Amino acid sequence: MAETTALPFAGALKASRRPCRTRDLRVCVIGGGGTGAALAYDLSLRGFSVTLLERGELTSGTTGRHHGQLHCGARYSLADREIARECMEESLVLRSIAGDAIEYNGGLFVELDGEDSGLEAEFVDACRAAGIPALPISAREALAMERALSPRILGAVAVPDGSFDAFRLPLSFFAAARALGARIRAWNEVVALETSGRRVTAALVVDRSSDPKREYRVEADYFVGACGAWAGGLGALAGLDVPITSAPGTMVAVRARLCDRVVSHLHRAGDGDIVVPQRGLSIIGSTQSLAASPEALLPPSGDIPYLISLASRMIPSFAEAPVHAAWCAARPLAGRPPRLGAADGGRSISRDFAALDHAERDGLAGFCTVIGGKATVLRAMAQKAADLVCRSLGVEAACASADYALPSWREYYG
Amino acid sequence: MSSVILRVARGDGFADYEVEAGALTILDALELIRGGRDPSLRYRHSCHHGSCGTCGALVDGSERLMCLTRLSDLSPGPVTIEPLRKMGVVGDLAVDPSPLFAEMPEGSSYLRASESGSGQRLEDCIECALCVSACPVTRPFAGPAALAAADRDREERPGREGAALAFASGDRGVAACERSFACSRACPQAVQPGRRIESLRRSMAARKG
Ligand SMILES: Cc1cc2nc3c(=O)[nH]c(=O)nc-3n(C[C@H](O)[C@H](O)[C@H](O)COP(=O)(O)OP(=O)(O)OC[C@H]3O[C@@H](n4cnc5c(N)ncnc54)[C@H](O)[C@@H]3O)c2cc1C
Ligand code: SF4
Ligand code: FES
Repeated sequence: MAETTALPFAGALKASRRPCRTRDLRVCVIGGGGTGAALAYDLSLRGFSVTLLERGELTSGTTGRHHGQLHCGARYSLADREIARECMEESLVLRSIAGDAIEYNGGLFVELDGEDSGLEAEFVDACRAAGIPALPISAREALAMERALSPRILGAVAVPDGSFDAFRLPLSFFAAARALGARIRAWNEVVALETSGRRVTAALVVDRSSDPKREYRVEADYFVGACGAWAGGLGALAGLDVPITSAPGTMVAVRARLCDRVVSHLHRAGDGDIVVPQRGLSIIGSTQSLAASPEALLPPSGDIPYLISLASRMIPSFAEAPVHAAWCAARPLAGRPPRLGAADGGRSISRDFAALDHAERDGLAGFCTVIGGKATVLRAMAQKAADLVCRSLGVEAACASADYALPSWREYYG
Repeated sequence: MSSVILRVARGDGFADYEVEAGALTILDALELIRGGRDPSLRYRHSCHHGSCGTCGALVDGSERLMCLTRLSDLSPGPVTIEPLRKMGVVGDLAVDPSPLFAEMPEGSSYLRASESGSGQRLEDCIECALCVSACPVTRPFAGPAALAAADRDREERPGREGAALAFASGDRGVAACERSFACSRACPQAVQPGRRIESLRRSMAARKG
């Protein structure tokens, strides 16, 4: 684990670190998921004056609802080495700065048939090339590690995956950001963006955090959209066409902790190939389709038996445990599929993330959009976006978000 | 399934909504309402599977997680849904859970050994405040969730036993508990905070000798 120190939240840190050039610069972050949380923290550490606006409760978009896998990157190693490497690095950083929200027990990729076993060597090589310590083990060894695994598996590869609390981990970033002076405003929706001379200058906000609602303006030197699958809607407020695809996936949780490690199917890609343990639950995910809107997504009823049957190929007792919940979340994929309804559910779109500079792309200054990625790489996404903010505003301030242990999420509300 | 009417706290009063097809749980139904008829309806939600602890509400007067309450288990209605008690106010069903977190014992950890003994896992308590809402005590009181956390510290982390017992015997500690066990009945995670409070009482007595 990397060395971290406790974040000295007293004003002392702000006074000492705050570079004088960023002090009076105001940045407004729109969207209170994991990406916005990490960004508000990163920008606050760099000394900016930060306001974050979230239309609902914090993490009520995709963030709170994801599968909860702390990806070491093995899942992506065959398709994209750089994404895999980044997951490996970031999973270690998160563990060192927010260990209390992570069940770090490792993962097993299991081989269900001869085709999977044929892929093992290529998979292990790809993992290692990305810096992921992957270790092939026999079926017997795997069964000794996880007794609920199917006795029919042919072999397995051990990797350093983990699971994390999708809500509490980002909340620690929010707690840290607020302790550094950021204004975190849940129940505050951006309903319009004002521009002046090809520059975004203010956001019009509806505040529903108390009755009656009120409207106000937030002026800032820079605006960052961190609206995930909702990025298109925010971009449209500034007349922009933001390339984002909403790709919902279903997950099903059963009431039984059937494994400690994340159990994945060793194959190239497909539905229902990862079982993530969390607390007393085991969660199978997921599916992937395309949706015109990320709003009010509910799991299609056929997904529940379908996912349970896929899970039980790896862990037979999954099918016997009582169903606890089934739900959907919208992947914010950066890019566009050839057409909506594409048969691969948008799987051809990369899982990479991007910070889109609207000054460069669209000739509209003072505004960027950060999209794509994974919850595991939220800190790296924030770093990239904050670097762009610095460049755009012509200031230099180094990223320090990997350096300090975050406070407990309890401090956000406490 | 026969159609269910949800009578939801809205502003100063209530609004009735007929549940649309496709919804399995109360939270699903609210998602459809907010995605269609009433975009400004406020409720807290995050994980949709009983793990974040944000979606607590009173369903016909009893504390429930809305994401785990199936519509098929409800009477045809109208089913009344109101915000949790004892929390701060945002509006409609949304509360500010600060009163729960303000009571949590300082530095109480959240990871423990898993069932298998070889791994680690997050604690069962999801900090949903259902127990606090259900608790009948009106005196100053740390409340069931915070005392359950203290008892876990006592049990699982020997170095913290002294601090946990000091917390339990303090001004806001176990003395205020009236043993109604409403907390244990409300808890969706079988944390049994009522039993935890009894266990703190026994440990305090044993310490006194
Ligand atoms: C099925 C599925 C499984 C996944 N599993 C994993 C996993 O196991 N591990 C992993 O690392 N990643 C996983 N992911 C990916 C991960 O969930 C997302 O990449 C991540 O949560 C995106 O976070 P975000 O902050 O960018 O977006 P969001 O969490 O969606 O945040 C955007 C926020 O913006 C707000 N917003 C929108 N419009 C406005 C407005 N006008 N004003 C104010 N606020 C606004 C929304 O309310 C929302 O809260 C999964 C994704 C899916 C779909
Ligand atoms: S003890 Fe139970 S009811 Fe109370 S906060 Fe924890 S999980 Fe919720
Ligand atoms: S939404 Fe997380 S507990 Fe219900």
